Amino acid sequence: MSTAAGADHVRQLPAGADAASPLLEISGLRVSFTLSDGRRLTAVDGINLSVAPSEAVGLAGESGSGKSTVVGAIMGLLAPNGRIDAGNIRYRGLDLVAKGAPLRRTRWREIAVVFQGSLVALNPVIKVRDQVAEAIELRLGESAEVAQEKAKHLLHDVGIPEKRLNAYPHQLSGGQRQRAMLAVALSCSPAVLIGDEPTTALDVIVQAQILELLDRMRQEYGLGLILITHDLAVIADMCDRVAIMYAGRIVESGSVKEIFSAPRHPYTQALLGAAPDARAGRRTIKVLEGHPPDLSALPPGCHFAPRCPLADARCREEDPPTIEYADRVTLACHRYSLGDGKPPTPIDAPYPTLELGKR
Amino acid sequence: MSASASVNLSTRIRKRVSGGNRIALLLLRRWDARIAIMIVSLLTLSGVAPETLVGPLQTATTATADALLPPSGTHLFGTDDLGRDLLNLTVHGARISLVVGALSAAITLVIGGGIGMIAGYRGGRVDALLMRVADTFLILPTFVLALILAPILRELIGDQTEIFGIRTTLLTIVAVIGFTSWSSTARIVRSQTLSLRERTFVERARLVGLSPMRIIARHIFPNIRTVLVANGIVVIAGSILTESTLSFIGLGDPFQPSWGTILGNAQSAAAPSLGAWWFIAAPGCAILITVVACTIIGNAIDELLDRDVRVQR
Amino acid sequence: MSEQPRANTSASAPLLRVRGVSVTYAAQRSIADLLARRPANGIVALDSVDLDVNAGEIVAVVGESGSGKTTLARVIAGLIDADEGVVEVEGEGPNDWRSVGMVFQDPYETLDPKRTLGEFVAEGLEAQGLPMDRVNTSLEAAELLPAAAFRDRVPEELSGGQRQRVVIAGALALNPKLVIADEPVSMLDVSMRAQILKLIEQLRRDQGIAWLFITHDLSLAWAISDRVVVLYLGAVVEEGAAEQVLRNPAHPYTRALLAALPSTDPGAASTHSLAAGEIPQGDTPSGCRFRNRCAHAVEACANKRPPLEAAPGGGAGHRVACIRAAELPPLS
Repeated sequence: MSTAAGADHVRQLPAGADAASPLLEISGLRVSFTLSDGRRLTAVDGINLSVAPSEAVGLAGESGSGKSTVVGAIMGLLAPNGRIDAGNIRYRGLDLVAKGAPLRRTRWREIAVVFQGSLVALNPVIKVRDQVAEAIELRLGESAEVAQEKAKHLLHDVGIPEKRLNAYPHQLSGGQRQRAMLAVALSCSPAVLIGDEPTTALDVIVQAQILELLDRMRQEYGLGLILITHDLAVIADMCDRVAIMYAGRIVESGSVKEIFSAPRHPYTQALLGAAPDARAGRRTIKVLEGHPPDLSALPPGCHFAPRCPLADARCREEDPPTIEYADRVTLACHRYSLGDGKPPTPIDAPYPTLELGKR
Repeated sequence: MSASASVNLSTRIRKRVSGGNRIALLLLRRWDARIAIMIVSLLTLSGVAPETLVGPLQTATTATADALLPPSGTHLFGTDDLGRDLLNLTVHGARISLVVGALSAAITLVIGGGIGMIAGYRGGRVDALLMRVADTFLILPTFVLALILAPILRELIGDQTEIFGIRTTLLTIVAVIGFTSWSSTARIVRSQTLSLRERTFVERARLVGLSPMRIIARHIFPNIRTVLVANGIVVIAGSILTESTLSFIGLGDPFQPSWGTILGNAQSAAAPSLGAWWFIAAPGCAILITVVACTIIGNAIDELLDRDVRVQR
Repeated sequence: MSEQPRANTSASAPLLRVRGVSVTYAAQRSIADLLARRPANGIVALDSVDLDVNAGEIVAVVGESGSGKTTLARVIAGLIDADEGVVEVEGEGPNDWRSVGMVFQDPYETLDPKRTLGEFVAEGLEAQGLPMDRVNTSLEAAELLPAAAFRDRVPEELSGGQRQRVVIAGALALNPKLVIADEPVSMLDVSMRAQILKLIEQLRRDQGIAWLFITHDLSLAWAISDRVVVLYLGAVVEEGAAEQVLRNPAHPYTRALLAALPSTDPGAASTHSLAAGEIPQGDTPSGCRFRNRCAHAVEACANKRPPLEAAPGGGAGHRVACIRAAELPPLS
């Protein structure tokens, strides 16, 4: 395993940054979109999330949960009808959101993203090596020769074979393109890497290869990794901490070990039980009836209440408060009493179950 | 014909809350399209009921004013060389210009749409053959062809036939424009059909045994309908322009004067050299405004469609 | 290929019988081909595939993209013709639409945005001249209740899961004995998947419908199917009862698929890639197709295509195409 790249990697903090502050910290973030008929839709509703160097945090949720909007907000890539209504995103204590914030225009130096569709994200008519070199040249102001050399090194590091350096994106396989994307993302030596469904389009063996690579890069470069995916198994495999999103809110968060072995929020329980697991020999799946709510017409109270087998009248009326019952372990559910400071005992939500493969 | 088709279309759209409805709503939100739609509506109104607006069409015998009066309170647009009120002529001309435009667009859409859908869906040799025919028509200059075809068609149809209150002379023009301008429509429709053909819902229709003609009717046509409407409106603009040119050089019907005919009259009455600018301005501006308005609407629908496709994908 | 007679089926001919099916895509290099990275020479999509599905059975075909699984589905559905081989449903050719239904991967693409759900379900009935009263019963069987309320709705108003139910209803309308489902849940949210899987099992139980379930997800294949068929580069490399193949995978490729599966089980070992590189595009290696990615490959693997033979130590019907199957180390 090459550590040369890691050794080169001496990061300089931007002016005004505070090395003692969290690497990336999102607090109370609320993002809304104006629909074409004038209504407003709140896609992200007051979430908190942070990542430390070398830490991997998973952000999980189904489509419409707002997880990709969080990426947009962090990177300043929200659609024109989107707006950050409240909250903060700070990189080492520096504001990324406020107008005129010094890092607003240069956040890509510190934070990089790998998206799902790599065929779209790479320019089809430029060789991959030149694309990586171009990024280094433009963003870091290196000379063309240095940039080419660095690009070669970086592509080697992500596992692109030497003879494919001068290939065009369409000549690469899906996994190689995703590797190339990772090289482009790492070209500015970011401190934070966001993977927005980075392996969703890949086959399972290639997914395992890319996940191994991401994990190695995280360790080697000391990256703070935010992995956004609908696949909890990928998070279980990769992450230290996890946050589960539903309809724009984080319903439960904490260490992967804690949450996955004793899920408390009924939605987390449903997600964890929704797919069969051959590795664990589990054929029985939980059936979560109904479908995710329309974000422009959210039910009052807990957004999950209409689908929740534990919901009572209060769940349908009052928003559940998010309570941090241990350090960075949160839960937003009325059905748990969180007063005594001890971790609440998980309540098994009585979902209908389905035993697949039963004759 | 085109009127009844569009009524049918709008009721179906209302029933379904389909893409067409959304397009219509989005269209009304654009200021340029709103103005253009207002203009076209006004013109349509004058085309439908010219008598109630300006009284019966004035002829040389019913003209009351002096010749070549400049615009004034009594004659807003002035008068022509025979003393006819130009406002009266222009409003009556709207009917002819619009009906000729709409009818030729209808012919264009039926031929172009049909050939485009069949070529795109069948592919292979049928496609190659139909597209070569379309190419041939595409390179033929409409205007020259119209010059040749107009007298021939008039011979064929005869002088006495009348459809929708339109006399043979104008029908010839309608037919000529229709038969010469369908190929670009066919090209647009074909390319849309080619991409629709690969969609899963078409494949699944094939799978359950639907015949090609039914697939075209059920799946291809409804999905290109809005494209056809957009194209149709642009074709109307083109048709009005061609009609004006043909009438200007005297191929129109003197008893049913269109804007082109009035322009032609102005030319032969030597209006430019007499300084009777209003004689040219009235029909000229009418043509200009109509064509620009139609083009704006057509392009706006086209842009919205593009965006709509992007949103859906 | 003689299947073990099942408890609830007769030992007679299988419902679906696929024998020696091969498909080679012709070389046609358009711009689309260039973008899709299809090389100029013909691509072998399927190479002499045998497959049986018995009445009321769920058979999963597992493979990555490029394995030929979608081509196989389309050949069986009759959407494309095989260059060689036989496809029979109840002893008849593939044009017997009424006994084979199909569910596609993308429910957003399968429903025409301009047509109502009722029109979609009725389409097959109309084409076959069957009575329209099956529209309601099909919608009900797919649990779209009340059916009358769904008939006049358009796809736009439906979630992905509901759309897939409509697609299934469209297949059910023709009273199929076999439904081919090509990745029917891969485009759906996790919570929607369970509902569709439940429906598939229910239809098998209540109506005796057999399913050919095509998926890239080994977990899902194992959970839902009676039998699993693993496809690699257009050929079957392993097949057998779902439990056997999962517990005792005999082919290095199946083992790699299993090792790469992430698990939410806190006790499960983390995923790792047992196979190098990716499924090759275009050039199929000589001998064993998997040998250039295989950690266990030896020289002899390049010599000839390994035949599908009884898996060492495997149960009845468990077969594998690997000359080294008996020598593989136990799976950790």
